[in-house]
Amino acid sequence: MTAGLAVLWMARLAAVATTVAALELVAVHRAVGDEGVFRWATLRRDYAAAPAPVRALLDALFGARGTRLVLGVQLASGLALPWLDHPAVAWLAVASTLAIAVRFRGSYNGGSDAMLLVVLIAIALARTQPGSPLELAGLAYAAVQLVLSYFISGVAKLADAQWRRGTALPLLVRLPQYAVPARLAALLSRPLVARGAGIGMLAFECVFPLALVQPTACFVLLGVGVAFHLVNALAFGLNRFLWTWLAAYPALLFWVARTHG
Amino acid sequence: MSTAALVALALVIAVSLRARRPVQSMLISRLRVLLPAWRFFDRPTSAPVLAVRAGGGPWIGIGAAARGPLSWAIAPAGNLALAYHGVVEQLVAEVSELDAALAHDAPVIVALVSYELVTRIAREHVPAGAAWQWRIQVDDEDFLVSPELGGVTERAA
Repeated sequence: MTAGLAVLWMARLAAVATTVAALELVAVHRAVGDEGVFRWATLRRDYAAAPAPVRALLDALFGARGTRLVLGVQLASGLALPWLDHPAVAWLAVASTLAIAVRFRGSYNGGSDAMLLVVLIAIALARTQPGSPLELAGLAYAAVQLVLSYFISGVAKLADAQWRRGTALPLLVRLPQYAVPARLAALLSRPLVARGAGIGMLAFECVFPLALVQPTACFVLLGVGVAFHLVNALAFGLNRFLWTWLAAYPALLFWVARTHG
Repeated sequence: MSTAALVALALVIAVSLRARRPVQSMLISRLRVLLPAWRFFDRPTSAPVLAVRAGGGPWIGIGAAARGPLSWAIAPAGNLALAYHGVVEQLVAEVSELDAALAHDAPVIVALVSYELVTRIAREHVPAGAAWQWRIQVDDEDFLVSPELGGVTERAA
């Protein structure tokens, strides 16, 4: 896989991720309107101590009209990513995605916002100077963040006794905010299934760095990763994680191909 | 090269195992999306639950949005509900940093932006015109209960 092909596939998948992110907010635009829960009149109180020019800029950017404009830029740049390889398109996607996260006090959808930015920054760097070390740096950034996202998550779970005992999943599937389908929750609450699935998940996350050093392991782990995110989307409603993590996969495939021929 | 990789791996493990600390700087907090922590579900504890009641009736929990056949791909209502839940968690974290002896309607609590956001989320789930109240429970214990809102209070405000 060439660097150019990896960036193109990242752009195609990031287009889906960015478009989904923008459309989801467009669909709930009332929540960011003047009377919505996340109206700017409430959120701007966070910046009461900021200098006046900063507050004026934020008011223009994050009021109801400004937010619609930012969402429009995010949607348009996301849709254009596979078709227009001018770096400005990718940088606009970066800027609008970051702006949306800042408007929502740091993030709207947690880790998926972070991974979407990682992928968009990687594409923007690569397209700023194709065929240069900057392109390689962009792909390396996305590949390393992808590996870290699984590995850190796995190692952090190891510190918790419930994960080590295999009793964590039954607790997670009962959390009301995820509304895990009843049949799946019942299945994952069975001690043997919970233990097996929990330990399997820990193992997958903790051994993920092997993907960097062994091509076969890389293909197997990425295959497991696709299934993992699909199950998370179906069970926990974490649909955005599926699209954003998939968009980072070509960067890892590129580095493994480059390192191991 | 392999020594450097091993050192880097050891550093990542050491940092990952450290206890999580709340971010104090607002600038870093707003830009935290650029500094991902990559810790997902690392502490499977019970979650705070926001509930509302209107006219002194029963408490009704505000939970997740209903799933549709395409929710695995695109889920505006589902992710808005998750964002609402994030606000509730943030309010719990902010109030936990304050003096535990404070009254639930202490000015320092009511003045929090997160408090206003939770009030606005709760208001979306009660019929217009009725007097209403919200509460957040953590481990089935009342963590924060709002005064009665709406009705005469809201009209006067």
